[in-house]
Amino acid sequence: MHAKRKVIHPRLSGAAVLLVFGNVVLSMSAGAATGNIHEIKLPLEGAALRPSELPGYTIALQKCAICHSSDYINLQPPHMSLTQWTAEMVKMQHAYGAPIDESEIKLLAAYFAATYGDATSIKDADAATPVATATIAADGGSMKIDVQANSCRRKRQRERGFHAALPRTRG
Amino acid sequence: MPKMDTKERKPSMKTLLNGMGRRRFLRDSIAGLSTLALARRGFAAAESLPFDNGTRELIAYPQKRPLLRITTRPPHLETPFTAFNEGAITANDAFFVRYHLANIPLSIDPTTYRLNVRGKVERQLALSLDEIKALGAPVEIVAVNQCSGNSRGHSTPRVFGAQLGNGSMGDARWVGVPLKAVLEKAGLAANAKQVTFNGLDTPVLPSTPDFIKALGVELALNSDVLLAWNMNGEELPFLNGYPLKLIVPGYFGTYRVKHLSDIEVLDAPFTGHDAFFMTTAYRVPDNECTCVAPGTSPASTRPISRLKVRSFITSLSNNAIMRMGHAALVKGIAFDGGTGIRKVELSDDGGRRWREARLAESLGKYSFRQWSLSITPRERGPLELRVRATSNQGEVQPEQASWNPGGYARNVIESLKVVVA
Repeated sequence: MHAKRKVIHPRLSGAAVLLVFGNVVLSMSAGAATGNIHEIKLPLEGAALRPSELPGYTIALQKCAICHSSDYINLQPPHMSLTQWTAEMVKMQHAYGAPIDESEIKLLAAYFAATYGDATSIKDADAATPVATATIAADGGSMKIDVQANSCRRKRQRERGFHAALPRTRG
Repeated sequence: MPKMDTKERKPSMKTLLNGMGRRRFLRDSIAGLSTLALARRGFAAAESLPFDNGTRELIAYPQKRPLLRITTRPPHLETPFTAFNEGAITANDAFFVRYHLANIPLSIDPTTYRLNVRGKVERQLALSLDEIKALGAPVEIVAVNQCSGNSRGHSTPRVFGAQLGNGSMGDARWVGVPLKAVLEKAGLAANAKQVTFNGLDTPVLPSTPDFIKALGVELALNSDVLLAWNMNGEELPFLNGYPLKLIVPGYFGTYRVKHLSDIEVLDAPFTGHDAFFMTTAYRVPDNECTCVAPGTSPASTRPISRLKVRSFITSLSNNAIMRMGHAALVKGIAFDGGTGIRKVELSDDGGRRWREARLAESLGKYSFRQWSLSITPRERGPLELRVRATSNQGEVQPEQASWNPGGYARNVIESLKVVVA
């Protein structure tokens, strides 16, 4: 005997559900279906990261997508600085357990700041002292973490990627 | 016979043009926004929230009308603001959806579902839905559920996080059994301090903290705290926590644990890796305004708790047209953290003079309270309307928006700019 199964699809009204009884699909109103397996089908994932030649782009494709869709990144406010993006990556690693190491944090932050954020902050960071202090802020934590600033090698990589990545219009 | 096709249905022109011009067509060629389904029909409806990078697609999810999609995985959907003008109660198919972890349940069998109660109790329990429903007479409470980060996109300066407009809130009639009945059946240990709540959603990686919330024992035994299975006369929509949801009236939505499956009683404060959403996230500056100077970090924080008093105009949106010399009934909603609304005032001169609105019938101290006031514009041109609520305990909305790093608990006086023609 097969279990009764109630499959709730997008686009059907709240009162419209499907019941699968064995191989037979029946329709029936909601509320009368207690005792049946409730199942949902979610819409497809369509968002994509903004392409870039920066090495952080490839890391983002591989690592960020493990736990969340890229619209988590796409919808963030524009003009966030390298320091802010770095703090966000540190939060992803420390607080949410993202499998990214120190060098990946720097590359990811550079990609996000250059592609989604305030690219001038990258130049400012290069001109500043080599150590920047980032603060975990977005969820109200008060932990302070020192973040090593970027090396000269990465600066060259970033500058190569700038022209392709920068002139973006807002969504 | 309900329609059973799963293809994307084209929205009608009426749907698309509804909303005072705030909805726009988005070409599917815009990078990052197209899906196969959208590409097939050529365009998607969208709504623009009034801050940078605020365009959101309107997408229909199971049991939901098209809602503003904030994120896809895990799903996070916001209610289009026009829905709040439909009544004090927010329809189930318009109610917002917010998950934290990507492994959300997609299939739940109510016959095998169990709520486990364990920890510092006299009897461990594994209750079926029928056993939970038989614990006592069902209790009904109308209560607002508002995301801690509702309106975060309006934070100035901006902060990271889900960039929400004002639609991550809703008011519903919840039916359930008091949590107290379950805890009493299990028998709390004399030294019980906190009670934790976990649902069927889990993190993708073991290194990611689970989403578990904690309440102090005193609050957990408050008879208004419910384990609800019914929302607005129907079983809970799947994405709102079917089959059982924790309802903590008057508190921010973060405590409304969905697909509730595990309750643990502790004899000490909740700590450790999986206490992250209590000990690190969802915390506000530990002061009266829950605020700090913009861009700074608080010296100390505490878990976010009660809703702050808020009010909104729902019958008009920005850039709406009002007619000179014609009376228009301006309508809206107000709510607070559980004392109820004493008064709502409206200003049509930028906040110099305030007129008291008429309050509609109360659905309870935790509910949206509808209000209305007739306004007759006397001059052509731009007109700014402001709305200000006062709670029964005398809490008033502030004139200036405060700031905190999480973008939580916004409750500044809202203003709208309309045009008198």
